[in-house]
Amino acid sequence: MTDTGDRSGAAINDRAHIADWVKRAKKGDVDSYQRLYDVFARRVLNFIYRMVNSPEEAEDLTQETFVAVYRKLNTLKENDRFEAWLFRIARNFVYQRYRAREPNMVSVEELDEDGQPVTQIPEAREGPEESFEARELEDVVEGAIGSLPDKYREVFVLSALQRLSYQEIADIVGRSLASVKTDIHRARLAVRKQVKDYLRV
Amino acid sequence: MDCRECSSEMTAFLDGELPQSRGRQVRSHIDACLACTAELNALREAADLVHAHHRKLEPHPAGWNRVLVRLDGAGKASRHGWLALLFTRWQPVAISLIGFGLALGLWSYQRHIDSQRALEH
Repeated sequence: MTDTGDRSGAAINDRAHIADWVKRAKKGDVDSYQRLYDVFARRVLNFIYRMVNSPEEAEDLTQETFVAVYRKLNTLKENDRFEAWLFRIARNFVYQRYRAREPNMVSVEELDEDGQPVTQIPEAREGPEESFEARELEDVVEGAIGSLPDKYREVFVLSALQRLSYQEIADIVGRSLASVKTDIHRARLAVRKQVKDYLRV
Repeated sequence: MDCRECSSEMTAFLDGELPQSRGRQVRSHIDACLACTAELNALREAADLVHAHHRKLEPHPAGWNRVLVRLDGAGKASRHGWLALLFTRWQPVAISLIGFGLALGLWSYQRHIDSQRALEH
C-alpha cells in the first residue's frame, strides 16, 4: 500500500463500463447485470463474510443482495454510484438479519446440495514450511480482524480490504466523513497492535 | 505540526485521503521526525500484511444461476439480452403477440386458400 494509493474499489478497466452496464440492466438487460455480478460478487461476499463470520451465510446473503439490487435498480439515481449503493444494501441485509448474532461462530467445512464446498478458497501451491507460515499468518490476520468491534471492523474491511474511498464508506455506513476517518485510524492501530510480532519494522 | 497531530492523520495519509496541503504538512513532519517515520512504516507494513494474508472467499460457481432462480425462476441466464428481456419482464406481452401473430397468419392463409378456390371456380 502506498501513501497515494488508488482508493477506487472496482478495477480501473471495469469502472469505465459500470455505469453503462447499470444503465442497460435498468432496461432489463440481464447480460449487463451478470457483468455487474461478475465484478462485484466476490467483493460483496468477502465484505459480508467479515460481518457474519460464516461462509455459508455470507454466500446466501450475497445472492439475496444481488436479487434485491436488481429489483431496486431503477431507484438508483446516479449510475456511477452503483458500487457504494450496492455495499449499502449488502450492509443493510447483514444488520437486518444478524444484529444479535454472536460474533465468533465459525462454520466448519460445509457442503452445498451439489456436494461442493461452500467455501471456495483457492489452494496455495507451496511447500509444507511455506504453507505452515502462510497459515499461521492467515490465522493471526483473521484473529486481528475478527477481534475488532463491529463498528470498527466494517470500516476497516471497506477501507483496507475493499479499498473504497472514505467518502464512499461514509455513504455506505451512514456516518460523517470525520467519524469514519477516525474509526478507520483506530481500527488500523488496533490491527497493527495485534500483528506487531510479525512485522519486520 | 506535532507528533500527536501527525499520528492522528497517518492512516488517512497512507490511504491518500488527505487534502493536498494537509498531506504536504504530514509529509514534511515525517521527513523530519524519526519516530513518526517508524510509525508510518509500521502502519504501512501492517496494512500490507493484512492485505496479503487475509482469507478470501470465492463466490460459489452456481451463484449467478441461483440469483436468477431467486429473481424469476428462469434458471440459467440466456446469453441473448433481448430474449431474456422477453421472458422475464415482458412475458404476458410476448405471449399475446405470439398468439396474435399466429391468428393473423392463419387468417391470411385461410383467405389465400379461399381466393385460390374462387379463382379455380
